[in-house]
Parts: sequence; structure tokens; C-alpha cells
Amino acid sequence: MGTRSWSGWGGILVVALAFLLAQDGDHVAQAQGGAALRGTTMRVSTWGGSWKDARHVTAGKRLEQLGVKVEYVVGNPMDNFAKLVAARGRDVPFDLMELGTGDIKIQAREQGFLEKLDLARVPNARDLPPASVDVDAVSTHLLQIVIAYNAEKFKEQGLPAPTEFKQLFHPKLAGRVAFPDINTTMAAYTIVGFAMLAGGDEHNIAPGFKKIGELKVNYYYKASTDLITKFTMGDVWAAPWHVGWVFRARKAGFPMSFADPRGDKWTGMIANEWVGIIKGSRNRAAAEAYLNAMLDPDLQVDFAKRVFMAPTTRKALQKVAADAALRESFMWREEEIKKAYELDWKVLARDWPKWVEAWNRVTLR
Amino acid sequence: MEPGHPAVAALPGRGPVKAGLASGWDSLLLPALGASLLLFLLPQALFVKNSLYAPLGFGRIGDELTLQNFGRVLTDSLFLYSFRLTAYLSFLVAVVAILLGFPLAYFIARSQSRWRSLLVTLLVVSSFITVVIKSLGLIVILGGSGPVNRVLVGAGLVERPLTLLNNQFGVVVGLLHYTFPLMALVLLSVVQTIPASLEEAAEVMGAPRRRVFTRILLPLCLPGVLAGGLMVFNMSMGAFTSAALLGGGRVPVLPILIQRKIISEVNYPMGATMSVLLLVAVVALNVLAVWLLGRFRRLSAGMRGTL
Repeated sequence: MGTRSWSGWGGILVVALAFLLAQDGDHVAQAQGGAALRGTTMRVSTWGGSWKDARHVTAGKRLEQLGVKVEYVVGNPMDNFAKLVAARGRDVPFDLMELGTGDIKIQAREQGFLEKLDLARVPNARDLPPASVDVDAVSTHLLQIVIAYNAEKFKEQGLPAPTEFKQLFHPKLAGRVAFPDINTTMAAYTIVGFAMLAGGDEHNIAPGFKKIGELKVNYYYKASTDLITKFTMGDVWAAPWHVGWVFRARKAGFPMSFADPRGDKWTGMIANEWVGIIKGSRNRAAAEAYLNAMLDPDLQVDFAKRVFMAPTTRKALQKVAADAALRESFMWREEEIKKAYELDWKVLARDWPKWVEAWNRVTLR
Repeated sequence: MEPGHPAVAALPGRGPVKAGLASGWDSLLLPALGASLLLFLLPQALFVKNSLYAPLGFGRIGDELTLQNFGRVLTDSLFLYSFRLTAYLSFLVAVVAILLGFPLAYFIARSQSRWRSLLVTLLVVSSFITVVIKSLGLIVILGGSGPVNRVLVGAGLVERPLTLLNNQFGVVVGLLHYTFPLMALVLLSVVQTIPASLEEAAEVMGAPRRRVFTRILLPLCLPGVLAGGLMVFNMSMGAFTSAALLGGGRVPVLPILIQRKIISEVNYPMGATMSVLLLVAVVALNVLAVWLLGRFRRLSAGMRGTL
């Protein structure tokens, strides 16, 4: 015993402390916050259906293990943003929001709805590339817009894989194409893609709406769950969609295929999808813990396998690279992402009401 | 039908109702009436208030009273087109519901069959089914590979499947499916109050069926038919779900336009302005219909008096 003995114990403590600090911050945060979070109820706004289920069995279950009850407010980000606006000045309708693409993140920020993030309390965010971190939101997955099509019908009709939006104007596809409704995440990219057919882009969107008016649309889909029904019933043969649904349809046995749209200088369309904590939340610690769980590498990969969307943390991407099936399911390699088109979301956030106005006049007449 | 109506008075066992008893029972309705008025008037008051302020974007509204929203909406070609379309489709649905509902109601009312109560039960039960479920059922039935198109193509009546969804036809069918059971039940209650003996007496006197219908049944049923028609018209004017699910985003009825203003643009003042105009138009059309009916009845009574 004596002095040597004490210094020996001190050494062990230092080593143990260093070991603890070197561990995944997630577990430390959980250990610290677990007791404080027990018994709280938090609300997360997210998409419905299998997306919400996937969120719950990954991040939601992690929070339940910490004693947190998680409730979900389902709807697409625009609908949920409207709920947030409607509740201005009162209790917030949810603590954490899946904001979707960058335009809603910017709108929510400008309206003062987003809380600045303390990344020390979301340690898994340290593993994100700079493009996936913002002051008040982090990206949890990548959205990849593709042209999804019924491979059997296309073969029957002798149609080539639709690698360009202009192929949707083929006479054999008249009345067989579904177009994303303006409120869906896919709409902005598709409208811009159509604008590019006539020399425009997000800065000059009018040609896009003109082209949409010329397309012989079957219907404008509001929900992917509805669109999958229309595909399986044979009413719709092709639609601008996101790649996650292509694989979910394949998993269900439907002969769905996809092509990445191409332009002169780009191949594929991709976007970070953001999650933020709502200012005024009374469950900020639980929201931070949920966000941290969303970025946990294992849970990110588990989530990717369920919804077929590329994860964003570096550790999760390493796991994707090692998974033969997963690495061919979506765009995730750095060089692919560099070649893909990403919208200027600031333009979209600024001009959105004008886009909706133009959309109404084109699609409702 | 009013208690003093001759057809009601002629019903066996239906003597005049004592005024005191009637007012006693009527007072029980007051709490329900009060709650309904509160639930109706409060949101409407909020909408009227919102319509009088300028939109500042993303749910924010100005603080100065203005009528500029009404000016903008009433000169907006899309709104005017949408209003005409909504009124036209609602009127069409009301007329078709009357044409289909009256024979069914008459058949059930006059039937002595043991299946009669089953038919009434089916009507009541089908009116309880939510419009979402009804619309989803129609999507399956009317789809390109649905049973209706399979029968039409199989029978050689059409070469390729018809487009029965995501257009005005789909919306009309959806609205009919939604409102028809209620219409049939209203008409059933109307026909039941007209004694069959009136028709029998007319036939004994030598009146052909067509004359019995035009001179006895129709005049007696007309207030009920109009009430049912107005009910269906009003429900259709405000129906969102059928148009949203069966119109495929291509049938711009007013509820769809209002939803887009509020959800997509988060523009409460303009959405509220459209809602107020929709309400005013519906109330005006109802008042006009009731006034026309009263005038028709006075004219009819006058003509009978001169005969």
C-alpha cells in the first residue's frame, strides 16, 4: 500500500478515464442523459408509413431504452412546416423535425423555428462531412431522385430505359406517367429537370412549368405509398421518384427499375435531407439524444437497409462499402456525388410561393 | 316535413302534436344547437378575421384591416374557374343523387318485402363508412386494371381501359358514393310520410301512373327532394377528400385550392378569403333555392285556386 499503491490506483483511473473518453460518445451521452431523460415524452415529425416505422425501430427504440416515450407527427415536411407555422406563439407541435430538403431548412431558419445545435451534445455529428452539417440542422441521409419505371411494361412496349426526363414525353407513355405533387420532396428536382429540357434551371423556372403542362400525366402523386399502388395496379408505368422506393418495390416482388436522369454536365440528382430541433421544445435533451441516435453508424446502416437511402456519417459509409447488396442500392461514393446535380436551395426558399402559384395554374387547368 | 303538412296529418295515429309538449322536447335541443353554433361560428369568425389582413408570407399576417384579398381573389381567373367548376360538379352530383335516390327510396318505402329492413340497414351502415375508405375502394374498382375496366374490355365494349380516375368523372363518382346513402335516407323519410292511399285513390279515379307521379307524389315530395338536393350540394361544395384522392391533383375544386393556399403556401389570409367566399356563396345559393321553392309553391297554390 502506501504512496506507490495510491499512484498505481491513480494510473488505473487515468487509463480508465482515457478509455471512456475514447469510446463512442454516443454511449457516454446516453449514460449521462439516460437518467434525466427517463419518463419524458417527445414528438418527432416525420414521413408516414414504412419511413416512420424504420425511424422508430432504429432511433426510436434507442430512445425507448433510455426511458423516453416517442410519439410521431406524420406528414411530408411541407405539411408539418404548416403545422409549425400554425402553432406560432403556442406550444411547439413537435420537438424534432425531419425538414426534408434544404429549402424548408432555410425557410424554417428564417422564420426562427430552428434551435442552434450544440454538437457536443450530438457527438455522432462529429463524424459527418462538412456538407452534411449546418448550424441548426444535420443531414441524416441522402435523397437520390431517379426515373422509376415498370421494367416489364417498358420491355413489352419496346421502350428504352428513361435516362432523361424528355423520354417521359414518349407517345406510348401518354397517361402512364405520374408526376410528384408540389408538396413532395421530389417535386423541386423534377420541375428543375423539366426546366432544363427547355434551357432553364432553378434560376429560370418558367420553362419547367411550361413543359409540365405539355406532359400527358396520369396524376400528380402526393404520397409514395399511393404511387406504389398505382404502379402495381398497372395505371402508372413511370415516375420521377426517389431510389429508396424502387428498392422497396423490388423487395415486394414488383419489377421496378430505375435510371439516373442525366444532363450535359451531370449524372444523377442528389440532396441532403435535414433534421433539426424546434426552438421552444421542452424536450431538448431527448431531441438531441434522438438526433444522435439517428447518426449512430450502426443505426444509420440499419435504417439504410430498411428504406434504401444512403447514410451520411463516414463510419456508416464505410459499412456500406463493405456490404455487397447495400453498396449497389444507392449513390454514395464521393466521386458519384460530385457528378450529381444539387439544387441551389436558397433560390427555392426565396421563390417557393411563386413556384406554388405557377404550379397551381399549370396543373389545375 | 312539417308537422302540419296534410300528408303527415293524414297518417294513421298521427294527430296534432300538443304545442306545450313540443316546446318542452324542443328545449332539449338547445345545448346541441348551442354547441353546433359555437363550433361553426368560432372557426368562421377566425377565418373572416384572417381574410381582412394582408399576407406577409409564411403564415404571418399584416396588422392593418384591408379588403385587398377579396379584390385579388375575385379577379383571379383560377379562383373564378374553380368556383364555377365546384358549383357545376356539386349541382351535377345533387341531380344524379336525386335521380338515383328517389326510385330506390320509393321502392323501399312501398315495399312489403322482408328484405326491406335489410336494405335500410345497408343504407345506414354505408353512410357510416368513412369517405377515405370509400374513395380507396373506388380507386381499386375504377383503376385501369380494375373490375369495371376488365368487364368493359372483356365484353368488347371498349378497346382499351377507360380513364375513370384522376379526372372530373372520378370526382363525381366519389362524391356520389359519399353522399348517396344520406340522400336516399332523406328521400326515404319523405316518401314514407306520403300515404300510399293517396296514390291508390288517384289510380281508382283513373289517373295513369305518370299523372299520379307528377300531380301527387312530386308536389308532396318536392320540399324533401329540395332539402336532400341542397344537403348533397352543400356537402359536395366543401368536399376535399374525394377530390384529393380521385381527382389526382387535376380537378381544381375550391377545397383543393384552399388547402394549397394554406398548406403549400402557408398563406392563411388568402385561404381564409377563399373560405369566406365559398361560405357566402353556398349560403346565398341555399337562400335562393328556398326562396324559389316558396315562390313555386305560392304559384302552384294560386293556380289550384283559380281552377
